[in-house]
Amino acid sequence: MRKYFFELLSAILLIGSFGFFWECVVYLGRRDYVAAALLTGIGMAVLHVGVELARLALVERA
Amino acid sequence: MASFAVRGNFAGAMTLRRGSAYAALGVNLWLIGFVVPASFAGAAWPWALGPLAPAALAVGALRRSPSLLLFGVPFLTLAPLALPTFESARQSPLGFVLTALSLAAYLAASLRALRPSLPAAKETRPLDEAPLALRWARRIRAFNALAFVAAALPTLFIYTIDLHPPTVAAFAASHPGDAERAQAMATALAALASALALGGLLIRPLAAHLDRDFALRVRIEESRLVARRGRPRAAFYFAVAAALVLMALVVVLRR
Repeated sequence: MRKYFFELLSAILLIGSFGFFWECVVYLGRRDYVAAALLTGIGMAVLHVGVELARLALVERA
Repeated sequence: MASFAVRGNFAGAMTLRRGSAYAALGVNLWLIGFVVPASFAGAAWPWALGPLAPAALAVGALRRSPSLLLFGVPFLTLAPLALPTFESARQSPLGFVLTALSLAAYLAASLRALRPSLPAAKETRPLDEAPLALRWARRIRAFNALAFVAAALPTLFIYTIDLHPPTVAAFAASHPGDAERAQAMATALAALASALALGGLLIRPLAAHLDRDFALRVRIEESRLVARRGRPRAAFYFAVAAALVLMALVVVLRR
């Protein structure tokens, strides 16, 4: 059960991080560089969390 | 006994021949890179720097010092060009091309001369030709490609920044009156980037490969051990905290 939960959560986070990067590009288009930098940081952090959860899902599977 | 004498003389002659080539090219570099610009500089004091490069060449040749020959001589020859007196010499495209070619020829000859020389045999014959293993053929191709990139990248940077007409025109348009300074800064940054790329992407992997990539294998083993643990790493909690803080910042700053 934990395995499926981790897999679902990591998939949501990995795909969701692209939303932050998309918003970053939108803010860059508006020349709002501070917000773009903050959103890049959020995207990277969310991506990292997703990767870690994917690793935990793999450990659960083994 | 006679054969040893002949062998010694032959080896000495080979060393002398190689030594003369790089010494002659060093003097050529000094003439093109320093003497000619100093002759047109219109001031006498730059000549005081003149003897430094030949002295370094002589000492380097006597001591067979790689640092003096590969770094000291080019630096002492070309560093004076950074002085404001040599402004006109720096702007000459022909002078730049000649100096670059002389520098490349000198460095190639110096590297060749610094190779450890094996005692010359009286007669030689090739070993039985063994087919080259595919793995080694791949490696040699990769090494040659890396060496080509290491030489081509700085050349491309320098040409694009300093000689390519559209780039030169763009510098002149974007920095009116200060285009030369902007070009010099861009060239210095390109040289720095090339040196870092050469060190990080070529020298370091090759040096690690000589050691059978020991550090890389240790890291892989550590990663394997970490991947087997069923708990999140500290970086996980840090990433969660960072994401929450940054989200709060975005909300506060853009409300």
